[in-house]
Amino acid sequence: MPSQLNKQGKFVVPGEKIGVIEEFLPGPGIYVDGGDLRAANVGFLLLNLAERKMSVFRPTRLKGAACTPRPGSIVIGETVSTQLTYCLIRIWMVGPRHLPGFFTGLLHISNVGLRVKNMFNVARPGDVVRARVISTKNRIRHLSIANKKLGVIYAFCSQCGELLRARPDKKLVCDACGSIELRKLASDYGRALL
Amino acid sequence: MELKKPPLIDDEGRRLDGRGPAELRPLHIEVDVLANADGSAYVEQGNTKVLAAVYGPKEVHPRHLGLPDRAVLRCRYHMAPFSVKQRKSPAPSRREIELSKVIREALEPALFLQHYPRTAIDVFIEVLQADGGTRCASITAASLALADAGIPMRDLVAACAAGKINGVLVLDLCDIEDKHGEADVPLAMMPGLGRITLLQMDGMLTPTELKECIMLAIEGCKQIYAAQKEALRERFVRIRKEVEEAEGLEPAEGGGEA
Repeated sequence: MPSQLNKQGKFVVPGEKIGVIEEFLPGPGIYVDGGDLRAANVGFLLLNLAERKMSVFRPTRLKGAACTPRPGSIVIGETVSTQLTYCLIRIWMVGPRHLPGFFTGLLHISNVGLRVKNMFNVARPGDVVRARVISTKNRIRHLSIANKKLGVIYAFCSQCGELLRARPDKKLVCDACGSIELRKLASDYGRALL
Repeated sequence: MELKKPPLIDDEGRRLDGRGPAELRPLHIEVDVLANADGSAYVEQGNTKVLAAVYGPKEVHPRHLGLPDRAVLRCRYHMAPFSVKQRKSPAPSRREIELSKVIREALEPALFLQHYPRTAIDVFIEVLQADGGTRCASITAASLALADAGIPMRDLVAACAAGKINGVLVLDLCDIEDKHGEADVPLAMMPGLGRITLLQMDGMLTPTELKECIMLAIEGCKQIYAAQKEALRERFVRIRKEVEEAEGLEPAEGGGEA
């Protein structure tokens, strides 16, 4: 099928007819209109011949990809409040992309992955957290940090506001005032790129 | 006393700016002109200059303004104080508020808003210089900015006006023609799908004239659509080349050819 392979990497704009539903399944960035496959996004065509699926690929370097946190996405955000049993997290990043605004997520104590009495030793206001969205039920984005790679990636001293340094025993120490604090740390604490 | 109308068409059928009746003004389109917006576009149609920026989708605040089944499209059409001969107050006027609504309703049918429930998509349109046809240029620019921001769309929306001046049906009216002409018919459509999303009329036309005006405006929209596609293509292919050069890759065969 040389005619179909020629479409690989082709530049498309929204509304452009790419094929018919008998040829391919619509993937991300493709929609079906009266049996025709049309592009819904600007980008380059990606053909998956094994699954007979077609999608539109947008170079990751480009900002703005209309992404929102969905179940499964890894997000980065700032803790805005910590209560006994949950934290509210203001999400700024979904995967590698910065959001135009922010979304709010909820991290419940049952999704921390450790046995903790309360959330104050998990994340405190101002901490930067990496989490996974596990569900969007009841209009709430439920987050989970039950994974080595998930958790706090930058924490700030609750006494003086300095960035905390992780000691080898996984306790956090403030170089400015000497206080020692606990958090649920991600494996790359203090080294993550934002 | 009646003001004397200037002759809008000369004996040879040329308009004030030397165009033929079915000719568009010189069109210049650029995509991604603003670094801080998710998507942006700049459209110049003769002396009309319009800038559009898109942000979103983002969380709606206060929460009750969000819709449970789709995104809210918020549009702001605004004319810069320096866009017209006499300084325009920067406060939104009745006309601007109405045009914001009209533009929003012209764009909405093209967007897959149901993909983003409980979010908002903001479109900001700034008219930098007004010389007639700003609503059409705004729709053209806004749809490009939305596509640039990666919002899924059924089709790009192109818009163009047709009208009647000195008894002749013409395409793409400028300010003087709009003011002193007999009628003005702005039209926005999704040319790829052949669906009209906006149709307005100001002035008097017979039913046959209206039909002809619509056909004329559709032809204009198709020309604008081609320019829109070209502007998007130029930008994406350029980015792709930059990426390939940075990674030291051979440019993909047939890559970027439309």
